[in-house]
Amino acid sequence: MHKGDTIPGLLFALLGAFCLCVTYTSPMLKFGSNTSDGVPGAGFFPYIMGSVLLIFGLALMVRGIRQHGTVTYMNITPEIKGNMKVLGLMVVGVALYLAIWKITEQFLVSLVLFALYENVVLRRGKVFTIVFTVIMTVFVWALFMKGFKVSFGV
Amino acid sequence: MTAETWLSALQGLLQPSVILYLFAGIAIGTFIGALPGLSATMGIAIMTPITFWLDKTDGFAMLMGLWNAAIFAGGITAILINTPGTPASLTQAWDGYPLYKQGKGGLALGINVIFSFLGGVVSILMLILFAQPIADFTITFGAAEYFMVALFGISMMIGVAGGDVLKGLCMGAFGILLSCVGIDPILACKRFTFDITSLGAGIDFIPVMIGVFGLGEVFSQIYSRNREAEAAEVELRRTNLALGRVLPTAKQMKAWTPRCLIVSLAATVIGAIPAAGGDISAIICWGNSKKFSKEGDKYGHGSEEGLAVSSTANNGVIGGAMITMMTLGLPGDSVTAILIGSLMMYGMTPGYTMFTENAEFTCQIMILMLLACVAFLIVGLATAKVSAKVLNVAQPTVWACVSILCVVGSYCINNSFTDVVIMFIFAILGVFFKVFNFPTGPLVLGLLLGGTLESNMRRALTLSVGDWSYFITRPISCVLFVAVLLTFLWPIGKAIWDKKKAAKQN
Repeated sequence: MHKGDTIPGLLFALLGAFCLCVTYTSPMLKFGSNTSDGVPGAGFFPYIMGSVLLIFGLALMVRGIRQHGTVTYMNITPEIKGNMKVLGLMVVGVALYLAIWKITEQFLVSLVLFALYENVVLRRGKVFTIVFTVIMTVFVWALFMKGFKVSFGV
Repeated sequence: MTAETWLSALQGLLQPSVILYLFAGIAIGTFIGALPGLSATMGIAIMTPITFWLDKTDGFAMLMGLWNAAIFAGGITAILINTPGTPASLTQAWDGYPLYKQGKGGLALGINVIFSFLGGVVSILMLILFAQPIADFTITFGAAEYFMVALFGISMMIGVAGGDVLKGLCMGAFGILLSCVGIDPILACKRFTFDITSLGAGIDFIPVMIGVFGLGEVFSQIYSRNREAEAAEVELRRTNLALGRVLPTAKQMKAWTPRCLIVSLAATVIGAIPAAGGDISAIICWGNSKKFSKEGDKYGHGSEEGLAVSSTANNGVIGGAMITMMTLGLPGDSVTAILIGSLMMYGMTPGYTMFTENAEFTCQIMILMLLACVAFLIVGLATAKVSAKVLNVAQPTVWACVSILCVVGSYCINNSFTDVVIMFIFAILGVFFKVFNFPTGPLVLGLLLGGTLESNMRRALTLSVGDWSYFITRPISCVLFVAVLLTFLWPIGKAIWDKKKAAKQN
């Protein structure tokens, strides 16, 4: 699964096909305009670019198949495996940060929680984690909320 | 632009706040550039949302200071720990680090500052000289020409920037398709919004940039973290060799300056080519200088001249990149791409109107670039020996800071939570693109230029009542069309040529 361009090519081709389908099914997105012949409509460009992406995606996929997976991208060493775990936790952390912010509308609380979480994931010391969280929270509060008057209510 | 415009622009800049933000930009840029893994692009992407809350002159003072300083500061790590702080500093490591090991670290840092200044100043003078005539030339451009210019920019990013052309084409097409989201530019009907109100305004370019070059870069660095290399770097930092004197002698300056002046002109031209950034410029200029120099054999083994050439070449692209950005709206590199987005946020469109409707601000940008060079020369020389301390910041600290700033920054652009979600999605996509070797440049340029490409293509077809030959019957458009074809055909031709050559050798 990790070898070659077959799957990325397929994904690009599917994206191109999806755009073509959406454009085709939308009554507003026509290839030509209603006014005069030859003048492009709102669907003109999405049709062209969707087709282009479909063709290039298929070409990439075919090339990947022809290479029989000789191109290897992810050489997963034990270190990379550990890194992937940290990366996964960071991605989940950001997702949770955004979810808590959106649900509770408490931006600063979610920021504090995220700052604590990411430092734990990145294996920083306890004192550093607390000091970092305090400094970053005060910085964001002072610069953005008080200084620039940004309202973080979503 | 008249002398009066220049004077009025200068007057507008003589304010304490402008100088303050300029030096703040220099400080942030030096810090960002000196830390391996943090690039000028990442710095500009993170700082741009903050500048929207400032006066546009203050904001651009900060961005110009940051950009100029980050490029020069990339040389600090290249010299002291053999790790380029930015891709443009690659060749500086080849000569700078051997010089440091010879006990000439101070001189290497001094050369880096002085010749980065020289490269920057010459290229900005070229910008001042040539921007107006090029902008005047674009007054003859119609829809067909603007379409071809945008297509040429994307094709250069795909063909010239290296890597796989087919993957570049996929990414470019994906970027252009993303630009279709929102309201149709001519008929004003909704496209690909899926009844999400916030998508009506389209996908904003800045959150995508923050995602790909900010949070995405953090994710990529976490993924590819190499503790062994980190330990080696820490060991190198501990070495702490004597730095010695910082300033070159007058004789040395006299010997290197003529060559570096030529290099700065070449770097400006390279910088003006879309997609050819400081790394390409530094490699081309360093390689050619090695060929023609009397001490070419010393290059790569601690040549002071080689380091001077590299330092000149990487800052020399700045003016060139700004020429194409300000006159044609084509970004010379990823930093100028963000600057276009920034200008658009201030209600300005790069191109001829920049030199007519916003002439004073355009002059101010150019003067700010010159001031930034002077400022980093002063700061760089004064802090050359202490700059090594910046390197002591641990990578995880930087990642933690950048993650928070990316989320906050992407929200601040439009006070939109959707922008944050878009930023997060593109950060994840950015990791996949990096792991699977998909170039991100065409995606970014496709998204940025997609609107120009579409609206001008449709305008041209409307004018010609659907006649496609309109694009090749107009002289400038035809020349650009040939250039686009050559850009795409060049890598294919080269691949076939290399294959044949390899077969012959076997």
